[in-house]
Amino acid sequence: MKTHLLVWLSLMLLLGLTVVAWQYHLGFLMALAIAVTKAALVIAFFMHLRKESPLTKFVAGAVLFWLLILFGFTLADYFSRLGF
Amino acid sequence: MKIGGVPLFPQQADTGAAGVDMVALVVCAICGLLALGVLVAVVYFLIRYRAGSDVNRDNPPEGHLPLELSWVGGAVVLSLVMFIFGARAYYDLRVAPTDSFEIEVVGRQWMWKIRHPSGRREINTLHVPLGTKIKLKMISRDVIHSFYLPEFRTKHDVLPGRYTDLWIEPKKLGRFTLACSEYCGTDHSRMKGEVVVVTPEEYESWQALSPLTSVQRGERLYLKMACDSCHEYQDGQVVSGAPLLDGIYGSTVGLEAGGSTKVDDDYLRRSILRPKAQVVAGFQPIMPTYEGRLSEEELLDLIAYIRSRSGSTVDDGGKK
Amino acid sequence: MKDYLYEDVSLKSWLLTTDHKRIGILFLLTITFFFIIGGVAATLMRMELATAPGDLVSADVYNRLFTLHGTVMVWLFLIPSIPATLGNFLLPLMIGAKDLAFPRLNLLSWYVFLFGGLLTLWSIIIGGVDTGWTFYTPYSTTYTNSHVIMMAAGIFIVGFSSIFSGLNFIVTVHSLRAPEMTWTRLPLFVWTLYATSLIMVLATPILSVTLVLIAAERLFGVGIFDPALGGDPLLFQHLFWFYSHPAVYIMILPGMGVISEILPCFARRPIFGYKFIAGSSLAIAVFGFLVWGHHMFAAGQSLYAGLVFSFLSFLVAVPSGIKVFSWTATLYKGSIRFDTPMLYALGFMGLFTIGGLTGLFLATLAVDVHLTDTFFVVAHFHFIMVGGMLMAYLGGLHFWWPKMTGKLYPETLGRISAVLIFLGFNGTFLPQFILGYLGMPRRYYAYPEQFEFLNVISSAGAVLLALGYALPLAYFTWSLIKGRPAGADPWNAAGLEWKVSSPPPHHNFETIPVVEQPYRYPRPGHE
Repeated sequence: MKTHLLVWLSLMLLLGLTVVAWQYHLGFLMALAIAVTKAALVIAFFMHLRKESPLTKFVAGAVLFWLLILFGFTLADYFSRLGF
Repeated sequence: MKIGGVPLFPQQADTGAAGVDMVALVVCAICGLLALGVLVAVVYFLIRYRAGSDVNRDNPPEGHLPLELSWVGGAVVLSLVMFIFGARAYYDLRVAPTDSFEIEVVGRQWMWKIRHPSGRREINTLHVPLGTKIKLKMISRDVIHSFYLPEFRTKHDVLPGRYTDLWIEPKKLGRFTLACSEYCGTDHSRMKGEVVVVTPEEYESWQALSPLTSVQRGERLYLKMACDSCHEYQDGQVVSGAPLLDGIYGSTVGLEAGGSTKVDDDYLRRSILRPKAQVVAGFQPIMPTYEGRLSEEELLDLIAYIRSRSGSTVDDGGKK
Repeated sequence: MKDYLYEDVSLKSWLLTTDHKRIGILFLLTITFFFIIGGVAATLMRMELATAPGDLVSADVYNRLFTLHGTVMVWLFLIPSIPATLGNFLLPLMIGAKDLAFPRLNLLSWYVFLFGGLLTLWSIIIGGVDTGWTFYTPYSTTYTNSHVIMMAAGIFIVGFSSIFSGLNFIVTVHSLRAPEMTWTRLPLFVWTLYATSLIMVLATPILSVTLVLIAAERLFGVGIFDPALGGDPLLFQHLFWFYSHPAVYIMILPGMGVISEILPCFARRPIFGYKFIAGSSLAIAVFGFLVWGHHMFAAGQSLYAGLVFSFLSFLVAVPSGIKVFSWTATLYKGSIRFDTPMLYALGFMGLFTIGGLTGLFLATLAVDVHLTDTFFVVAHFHFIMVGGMLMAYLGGLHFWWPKMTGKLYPETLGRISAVLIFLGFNGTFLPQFILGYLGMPRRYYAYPEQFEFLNVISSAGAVLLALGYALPLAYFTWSLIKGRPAGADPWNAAGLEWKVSSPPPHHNFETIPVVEQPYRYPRPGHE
């Protein structure tokens, strides 16, 4: 219960940070980093991944990797198209 | 090659067509051999090991690691061979030589509008000079179309909102097929036309019959839309805070939002339609949008004119 | 003790059943219905294409027909075909379980499928959709005035059925195997179902998101795909093919599993290269996600992305090659019988090999530029989907029909149908390879005169093909009433599903079954 409360508080803190980051134009990479941290907290604590079996952790990791494939390959097309 | 008056192989009207056919034949030979191997093995086994035949069936193998691994290895090697052949030819097919002659194509539901540099325009027919490298700069007014020239063994999708290109080098006089190959609605199958390959001399006299060049049309438009009231010097002074257009095409400019970009056709097009998105560094976002006020054809004219102010006559993708 | 069919014959007991076998039968009936609808559309299209000018139907009707054909066949027939019918029926039987891990989720999967399917059908009845099953933007989002949102909603809902089934299968394979059923003893059909389920669970949500974006774009003009609003139509193609290419493997993998069951049984010997076949199924499931860009070589994708996707596409062909090799080797030193399922399996091997090899033409960059969006592509994927998956589905249906119904079908008619379908199929689709290379674009309802001869052959082949499909429909129905009783094991086959009576009792196994090595042929004590 105490951990849950702590996690919730840090999520609120990060939410505040998102607003601050927006006001100071820290860019979308910053916003993305904060969002990823928040998602990681939710998955690890609220969704109990921290205490799950290695198989479940492996699945969660695999899904993340698979999402990277979608974003990675699609962005690869965009970046090489624009001549970055 | 024909069977009963039906051709089994399309003509080769492009200098690159033989190359593509060659790659297809390589793939065909490799696949044919593999298919034949499987067929012969299967039929042989089916006959020899049919139920009731008197043959040795002792210890049927349940696996054979060296055999399986060499099959995998062989397949990878054959794949690489096909990949390399295909990739080389693809590079030649996709990357237009920098000295190409440029013709513009605007696709719309359901016709092709063609615009020659001399200003001559035509619909669903594309006149091209023999033996000349021609780059087609293409854009769509509505949905995605695809400019398909089977006898030239090439096609490319024509997208709304972005220029794509295709290049050919006709090696045969005559009339060839032009078709839309990306489904685009009701009359998709009627969105077709002809490529007419003529001698360079004929092409010259043909395209000379034109009132105005696209650069001239672009200049008229430039004055009519009063672009010059901001983008020009008056008495050595920039009238309003707008970048000068002379020499800008093909250069790299810094952006107000950070970063930089090459000034190519797509950038010019975006900057006319959505000027506030990528403002050149040091300027204010004061230019109004021209979205909906200019047709794709007019945009092409304007871009041709702006390019001419930098001494550029072809779209070299800003590569200078 | 009564079997699952006659335990309780009331309609209510069928509609509220949680028995995986009954749900498999419900799926069988539903997808047969959708197959007939898709087939009628195909028949009308082939009739239109029998002559060069567009004379039978109008262009708009033709465009609606091929959209209907594609959508119904892909989402309402091929994707659920083997997994939801044979897979549902056989998976618990094959691993020695009493049911799937989540029986009620399984029933929900059917209801969701039925609801989504009927919604899709409704979109057709109220006027249809003319975007093609690919829904390319901005045509689908901005330009067409047909019922895109309704159809997208239907497919969105059907997607959940896929996800439910996939989830159910994965959990079942992990947790409900009989005590001695180790991973290396799993029947290869189970391996392919497992690989298929992984793709279903991972890929389907992307399709759902993409369909939601289409609806959002149409309803609210959010501008993700519309270039006039700063969007990019190619983004749609990326998202769509990220699902739809792996979906091709959803459609073919279970078919490969069925073939891996039939071949050893009728060659009377163990399968060759068990571990390679099982591994290649997983390899296909993983590599299948890395190749979607080969649908976009001429679509405006960057040159470099094209090179990468082409290279990976060649690699994904290798695991399929391993399977064909192993199947061929399985015939070596066998004692081969030519019953109906075997004829279908052999037909599959031939057609799938051609389908796979012609895929290499399309993976080859320069050749694909000429061939993409022509009839060559149409022929290629029909060789995989119909020549491959449908042959395997029918082969599997003939193989397990005695198990599912307890009745035998007339063997001679079965063999005739297998041969008819094989010949009709080749007649229909072989000419289309030539048409494609000659440059006939797909989705044309009228075409130049010079293509007429080959199109006539194709349409004639389709007549034979339709006849071939009508036969099993007739004699399967007939066998339900008049068929001879099959007995528990008519093929003298290995595998746990043949250990129980036909049709199997409600809870499959009364005692925990004894598991042996897979594919123990010839059967000890029988031959």
